[in-house]
Amino acid sequence: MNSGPLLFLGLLFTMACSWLTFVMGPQLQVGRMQPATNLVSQELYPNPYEGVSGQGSQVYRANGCVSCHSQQIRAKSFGPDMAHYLAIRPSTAYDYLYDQPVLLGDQRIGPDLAAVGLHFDRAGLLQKLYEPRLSAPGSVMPSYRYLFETRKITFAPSTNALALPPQLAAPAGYEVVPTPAAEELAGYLLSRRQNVFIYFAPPPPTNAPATNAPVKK
Amino acid sequence: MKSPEPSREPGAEPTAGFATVPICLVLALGALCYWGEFYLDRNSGSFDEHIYAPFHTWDEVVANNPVSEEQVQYNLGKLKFHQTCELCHQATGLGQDGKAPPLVGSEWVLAPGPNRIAHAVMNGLTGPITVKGTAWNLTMPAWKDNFTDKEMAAILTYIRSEWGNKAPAVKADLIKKVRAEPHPGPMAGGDELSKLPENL
Repeated sequence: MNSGPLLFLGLLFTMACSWLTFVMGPQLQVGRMQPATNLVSQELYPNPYEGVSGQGSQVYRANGCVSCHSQQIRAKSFGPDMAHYLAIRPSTAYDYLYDQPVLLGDQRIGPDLAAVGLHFDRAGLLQKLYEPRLSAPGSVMPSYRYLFETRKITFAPSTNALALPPQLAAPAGYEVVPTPAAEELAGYLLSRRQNVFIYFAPPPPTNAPATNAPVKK
Repeated sequence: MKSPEPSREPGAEPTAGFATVPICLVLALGALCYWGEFYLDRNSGSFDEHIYAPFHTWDEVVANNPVSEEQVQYNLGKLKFHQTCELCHQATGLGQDGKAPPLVGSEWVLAPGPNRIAHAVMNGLTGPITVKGTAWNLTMPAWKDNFTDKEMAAILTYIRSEWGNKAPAVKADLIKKVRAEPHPGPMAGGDELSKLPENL
């Protein structure tokens, strides 16, 4: 090899550049973040995963939800996210402080899920997972029926059983109940709210102009 | 006949020559970079993790916060009290026998002018002092080197407004003035404190 040292230095430089940009830079920017103050309750925000929603994030990953769904509400100046998904404020880095990994997503084939917990209840979410086209005809979302179990009613019907229309209902004497994975996923989705004003993301002034232009002083 | 042009014969290897970049492209690139810098200056919020759209600067975030200046001072005072003063004066401000006199309803704490209590906290206090009709004779260390003017003012404001106490807030300017006139050793009990003016 004629120019080994040069090659080595070139490789080192390339690796160093990407390391500085993708590891060092973000670490300096957001690596030492601490929970912020919730402006309403004066408590800390965010909370760590509630209940089974931590396991739910793994179900979310395992089923590839992140390939079609994002979890990021952009500010008004970047698009109509806030109006589409009925969010009260754009996402901040604080919203993801305890997410491991952060599941921002890079596709918007399905709707954004950053505030999905505000617009669904548990039963609605489970029905959506079982058959998405019940509540949204024409949806391209796959149905996740393998997260549910059709089982025989032994004594009394389960309180967790899905309420399904006749064409999907289980045969007489049977019921459709969510597996633990589906319960965890629903818990995770219900915990996606981002509905709290924090010190670093206060409500903007009500007389704010429609544009994002800086305020002239 | 020989041509200076690269050979165009079929099967010949194509070769690349050199050409100068048009100066207008360089200028356009420069203008784009210039505009980009302005755009970043305006919208990046210094890449600070505390500043998010639609806000551009830290001042805008603070200005839009419903948290008032008083609330910030209260929080700071509460924190510092909790870290330091609470050990003797207790979280309730009621003090403890043999440790510290009460702050709740204390005439020294609630004096309309905070000069005397500021001297006591900053320089320390030793010797007899009467608080709410009870005689105390203990020693409090000097705290002036442990806190900035802002923190000291926040602590004094906190003890003057918490637990039902109602006395005007303390400004950092007063702490600065008290700090400017050094006192040798701790204040000698209530007698020396009483000789001080109530207000500076």
